[in-house]
Amino acid sequence: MRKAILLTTLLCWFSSMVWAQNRQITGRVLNNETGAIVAGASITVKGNSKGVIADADGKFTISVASKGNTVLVIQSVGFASQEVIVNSQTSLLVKLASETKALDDVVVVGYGSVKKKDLTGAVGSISSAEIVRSNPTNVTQAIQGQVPGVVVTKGSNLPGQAFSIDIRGENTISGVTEPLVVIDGVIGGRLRDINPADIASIDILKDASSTAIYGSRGANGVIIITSKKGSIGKAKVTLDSYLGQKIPAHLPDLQTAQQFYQSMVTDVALNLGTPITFSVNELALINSGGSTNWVKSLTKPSINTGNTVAVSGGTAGTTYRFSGGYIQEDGNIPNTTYKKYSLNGGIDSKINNFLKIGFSAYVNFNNNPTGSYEALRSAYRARPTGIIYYKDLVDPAAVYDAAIGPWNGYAVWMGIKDNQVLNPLVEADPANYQFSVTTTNEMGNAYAEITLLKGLTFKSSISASVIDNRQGDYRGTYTKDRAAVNLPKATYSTSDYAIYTFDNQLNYNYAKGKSKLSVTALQSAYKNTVESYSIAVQNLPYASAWYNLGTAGLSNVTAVNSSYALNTLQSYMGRINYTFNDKYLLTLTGRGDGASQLSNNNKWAFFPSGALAWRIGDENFIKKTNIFSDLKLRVSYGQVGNANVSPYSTQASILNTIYGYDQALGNGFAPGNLGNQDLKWERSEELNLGVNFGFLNNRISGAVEVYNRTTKDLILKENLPTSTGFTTVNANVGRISNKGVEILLNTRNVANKNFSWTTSVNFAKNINKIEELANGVSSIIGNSLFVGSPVKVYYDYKYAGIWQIADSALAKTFGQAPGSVRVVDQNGDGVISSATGKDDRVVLGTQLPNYTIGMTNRMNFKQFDLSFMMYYRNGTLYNNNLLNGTMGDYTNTRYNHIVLNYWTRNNPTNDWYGVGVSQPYKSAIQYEDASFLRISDITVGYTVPKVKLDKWNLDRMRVYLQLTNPQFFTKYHGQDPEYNSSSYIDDVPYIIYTFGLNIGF
Amino acid sequence: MNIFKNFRKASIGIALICIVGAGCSKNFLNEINPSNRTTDTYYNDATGYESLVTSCYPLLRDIAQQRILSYGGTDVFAQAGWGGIYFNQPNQLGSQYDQYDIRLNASLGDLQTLWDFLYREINRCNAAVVRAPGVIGMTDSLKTVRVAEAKFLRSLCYFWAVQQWGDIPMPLVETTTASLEVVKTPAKDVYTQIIKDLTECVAKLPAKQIQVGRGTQGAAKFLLARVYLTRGWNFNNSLGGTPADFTSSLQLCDQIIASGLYPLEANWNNLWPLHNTNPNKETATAASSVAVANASKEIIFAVQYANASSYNGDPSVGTTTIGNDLHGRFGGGPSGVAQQARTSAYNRVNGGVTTTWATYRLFDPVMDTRYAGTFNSVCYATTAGTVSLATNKPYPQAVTLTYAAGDTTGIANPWNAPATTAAQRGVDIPGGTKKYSVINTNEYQGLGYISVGNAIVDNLAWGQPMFWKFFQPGILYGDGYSTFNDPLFRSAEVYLMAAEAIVKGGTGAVLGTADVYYNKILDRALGTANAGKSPMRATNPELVDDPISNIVSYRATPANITIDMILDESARELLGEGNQRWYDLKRTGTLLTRAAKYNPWVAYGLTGTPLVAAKHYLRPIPQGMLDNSNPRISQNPGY
Repeated sequence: MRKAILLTTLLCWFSSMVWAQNRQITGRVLNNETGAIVAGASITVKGNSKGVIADADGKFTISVASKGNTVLVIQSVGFASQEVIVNSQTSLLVKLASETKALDDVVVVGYGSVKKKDLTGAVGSISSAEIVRSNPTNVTQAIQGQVPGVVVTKGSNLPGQAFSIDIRGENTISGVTEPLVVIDGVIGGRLRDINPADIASIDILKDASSTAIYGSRGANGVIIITSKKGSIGKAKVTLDSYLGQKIPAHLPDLQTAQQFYQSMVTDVALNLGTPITFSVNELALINSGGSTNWVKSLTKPSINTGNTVAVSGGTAGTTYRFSGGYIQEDGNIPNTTYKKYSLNGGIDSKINNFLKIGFSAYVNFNNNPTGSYEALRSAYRARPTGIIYYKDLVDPAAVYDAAIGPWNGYAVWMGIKDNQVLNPLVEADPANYQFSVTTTNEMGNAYAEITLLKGLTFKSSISASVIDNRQGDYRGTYTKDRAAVNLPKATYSTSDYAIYTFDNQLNYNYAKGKSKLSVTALQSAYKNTVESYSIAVQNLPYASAWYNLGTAGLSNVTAVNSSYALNTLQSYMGRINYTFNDKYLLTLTGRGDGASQLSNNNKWAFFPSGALAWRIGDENFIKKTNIFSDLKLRVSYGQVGNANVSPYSTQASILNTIYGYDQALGNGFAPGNLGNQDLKWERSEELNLGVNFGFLNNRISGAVEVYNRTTKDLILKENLPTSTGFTTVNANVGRISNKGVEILLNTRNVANKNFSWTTSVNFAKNINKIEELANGVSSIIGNSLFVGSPVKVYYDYKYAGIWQIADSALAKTFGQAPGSVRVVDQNGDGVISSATGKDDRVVLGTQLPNYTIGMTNRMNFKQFDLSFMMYYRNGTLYNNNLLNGTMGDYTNTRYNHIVLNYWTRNNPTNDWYGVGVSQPYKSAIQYEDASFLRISDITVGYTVPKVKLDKWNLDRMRVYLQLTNPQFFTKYHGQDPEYNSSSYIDDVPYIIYTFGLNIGF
Repeated sequence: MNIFKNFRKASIGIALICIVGAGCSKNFLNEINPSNRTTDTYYNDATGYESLVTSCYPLLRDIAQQRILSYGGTDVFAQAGWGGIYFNQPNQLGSQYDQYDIRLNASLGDLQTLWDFLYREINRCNAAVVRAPGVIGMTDSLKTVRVAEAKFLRSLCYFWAVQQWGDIPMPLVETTTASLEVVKTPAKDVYTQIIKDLTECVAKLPAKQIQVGRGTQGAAKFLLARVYLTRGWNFNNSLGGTPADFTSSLQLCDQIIASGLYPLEANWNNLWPLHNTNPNKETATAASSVAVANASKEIIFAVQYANASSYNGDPSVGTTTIGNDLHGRFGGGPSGVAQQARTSAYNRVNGGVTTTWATYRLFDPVMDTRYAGTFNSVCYATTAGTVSLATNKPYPQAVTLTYAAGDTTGIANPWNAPATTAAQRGVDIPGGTKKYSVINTNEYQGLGYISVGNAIVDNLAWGQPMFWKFFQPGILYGDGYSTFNDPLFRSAEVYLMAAEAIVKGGTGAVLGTADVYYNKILDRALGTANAGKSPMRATNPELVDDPISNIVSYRATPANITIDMILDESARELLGEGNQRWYDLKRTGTLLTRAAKYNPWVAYGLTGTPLVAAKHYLRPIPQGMLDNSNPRISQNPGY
């Protein structure tokens, strides 16, 4: 059943009313640039579902009402849709213009929308096609490399992975730099919970003038998600499906058993150190020439799939859309997965000429078991000399394995005389370790809009988001945590969020002559409560995950916690948009915010902003030059605030702490934290200059933005000298600036009948700098803040190579020996020290990128399409967690290492330090440039020709093949230069091979 | 539009405006926090204030468990084994605390952790001191006692801190507003403050508290005696000490002894958890094993560890169950043979420090009951098992041994009774006959088995005697911690402090000369059978291969008693207790001499010459204190 009977009935009834009397119109559709025939264009009567398709010659015949004017809408993929008014003509010639991000596109700007040509601020937009192009599990992933100035960074390779987003650098230093997310009016939504296929567009507000409407909450930028809506016409059904296989790839090179032996015995002895010992089991493997690849043994290819069915349509006054989706991304470590079930529905209805109501709802359920935290790290750490299966042990009694015996056939301690790392395959087995998060997120928005007078409307909307988050953590006996001897332990915790926003909005639109005025006034109240609960027990008698904690008995309850937090925000806002002659545009915004979590005297703040735009391209003196097809100049200035501290930060709370006087309970409450009664708003001001341009009939188009943002009264969880008895306090500590440039360039390189090629390139550079710190100090070393440097810097000794044998005497004066990491004695006093007055540490660099480039190419050849995306990030410095963890630590003899060219007395390299030699400054060698170029994905698609589709009664059908993450280029040692993985709580990198299908009817 | 329509619109508008009004409630921005209270609203009555004073005690556990700064690099403990040093291998990689090399610097996490705990505790005590006057509903006499408890605990922390770091910040009021400015107070002023506070505590604290574990007059006197003793030595002439301090210390020691509240146990072993040499024959439970020890009257002040683990939590350090970790901090676990995996039969040895070889040689293993009380020299199989010696190096022997539970698996001979014939040895040695490892002192920690450049496998070898003084049977292996109360002060040490004060010129001793005090402790250790006899130690404890005939008595006489002799005795009597050893060496100015003499790592340094130097009498101020203070405070000299 493709069509709902009811809908059909309704449509028939509706159509029969319209087509009382008809006449025939014939016409032809051509490309306005090349004059080529445009086949398969759809021609519909506006406000009506009735339509026809142009044939292979671009010709069509359509019947329209015989009386009155009719508007025909002509649409074709790759072209801007065009409306033609039919008066008395009977034949039409329609020339379609290629689609070039048409200037009439609407951009959502918060509590309203404007046409792109009327935009005064810096806003980046991503369309539905871009969002689903790469089949992301998480919408955030789709934003990477698409909008200049928006840096999206992966946090992990686990299924259902989290991404972080920074818009225009780090505007704050207290850690939270995530932008505000607004999903269909639900403020503070969660991107990861949304099915990407349900999204119509993403609009990203970047400059302060644009975000000012969100006041305090928009300080880090705003991401507005607009879900797909129905449109009046017949019910349309779409089916989007993909199925892919994730194959582990790009893995770091780990030592083999023989390499491990060489580095820990032979070369250590060569370097005059003390070699390590091996068990008989290990020696047997080493001598046989064998080796165990734990990562390979642990991981396997897995499934990545997504399926969304949607129905949308509408009748006079009412439109609707419903969808259901299922996404599954399995991890490469067995028994880890991310499953997302989503239901989305929305109705908008115009009840009569003064009342409009609408409702939209999302229900998302995510199930995310990620298994053992230790699984991957154990696989990286376990010695390659270890034995997987118990039966392969030469002598289980020589080590700790014999006491346990085979577990599921595995040797738990791998035949190694060490009991720190368990066999990764044992660790990862769900019988031993389970960790799972399930989230139910119910979001809804309802509004009513009434027209009070002509041009004056009042809109009231209520948004609610209820998130129920449940987390279970079970660690059985055969896990690192339980050391293979203790009974299992488990923790179960829940967090419930209830978030409400109540908005009341007055809008007034007025136009007279060349003037257009639009005024918005808003009152908003926001309330967020979080309740959480957790219980932890140990010594469970049998494996029951977290489903029977009572069996541990009351004496084995190790923690019970519950908590409550509330914060509220109250706001008043006004905005005026004034346009003169469609060329001169002005936006003024003001917003006052009151935040509960700030101190009583500092709760309220006011944030003004303004923007001007000049469509200079529409002025005759520019038009005459015939250079520009579009040119707009913009300038904006605005202030926004940030009150991003936890509730109760201004209060000195008490902390429960227990003692026993002999056997008598002593229940103590100590001062828990230092309240800051002076805590106030962090405030940013930003100047943005922008140019939108188009040349050659917009074959080349784009935008350049230049901005300068200063944030003062930065809120920081400031480190305190601990002689105060406290470690941190929330404080306003200084001023930071972000200056940057963003360039977006879209080109239509080739636009022929059979072949087209477009490129979209974006470039963003941001310079982050601490301008000033509180009390006039030049640095807060404990927080790594230095005036004149960016935030997120590393402050440490600078690497100067490896001490070589020829420098032995000099090395000795520094208390070091050949093979040790040499660092720069900055002040040349002959001592390496971090003491006051003779500190040799310096700012080494920042984790913030220097610049990023994203590039997407799309080609169409007849029915085939090809697209690929590349992403380049320059200048990120990481203290490489894989190196500073045990995997790069050649002073650690217990665990395996990644293959590095280390120093020996016969190999005087500067690549890596020597084995068997004391390394007091080894951290200096672990800082690495994590610049990388990634080919993010390559997609080849085929769209079934219209002729065939008609036969099958389909509107649209496309099949495609996609390759995700096929290659990256970097000098960084690790799993993935994009994020600094320690392999703890992580999965391996991968390539995904995907087959996909899109059908519409 | 007709009037009716407009009216309808207006009414909807009015209704909405009412809703808007509701959202603007005046209290909307008030912070509501049902889950917590603030310091100002909670500490103002008796219940709240009592909870504040109680909160000053739990951190003692965390502070006491920062042990490395008082054990590492001393004469009796080192952090790593000493095989490589014994064989004179180059490029030795041991601990910075022992080698005293450049790694012993301000960045060490142990320094920061101890510092942070001490000052967190000081701030809690300060809160208890300054908030007392404002508390309602509590008698003045009780308040006085509680304030004195807080001052006692604060003095304890300042005393630890001033010994470690010298000039230190000395806040005496609760921190209620943040400041990055830090002022260092000279060490001598810190001592003045400590003595002032403790003198007050001696006057105001009761001799006994209803709740065991709280500060008492005796505890305050003990601490004050130690503070006077320390100031008397007057480190670097910087503490404002005078010879009169030794007399003050001695007077307090005599008072404690005369009070009769803290009599010495007749049997030294009653001070420790009951435990059987052979775990297969263990009869004590976790609770019963510590019943006697925890109730001992000899203990003047101990950190409390209740039996119910839920009483042991301190969420401020991110843990919910902390027991006493003392049992696992000293090297020398059971032999791996037929022990298998991780066993609670012998307590988990969690690393930390290991006894130097000289320490064993300070004891008379036969006559002195403290040798067997401190070290367990026999190891038994706890499960059945087999061991194959097929590929042993450097002594390959193709033998497979089978064990039943309870079979002996290792014996560590005392230094003065080594195995001398091959037949007395284990089968892993050529000619050996015993099916267990038999090792002599100069083979402890694998000294006899090291072979440069070869992977070594000796499944039978056992490292050294177990340091089992604090072992508590029946506790869980992993996160199961002991419920043995950590004794910080006990009266045996009072006698040794008195002896030291007399040697340094203290006058007016009640019991007699220094040797009288000293021999009280020694005779108790020798037991009724041997009291009065002369126990013999190695003349040169630092020479592990010295002939066993080279011995000397350690009974004190008025003529022979010295500070070194007292330090030797405190090593035997108090080994591993109270986190005290480093402070003892620092107080007496013997760190450089004794550590370099007895600790092979200190002697070795990085390349064969000791690196320990005068600057090491003070620790570096933790880097975080330098980095987080503004203006940055200065570092101690030499770092």
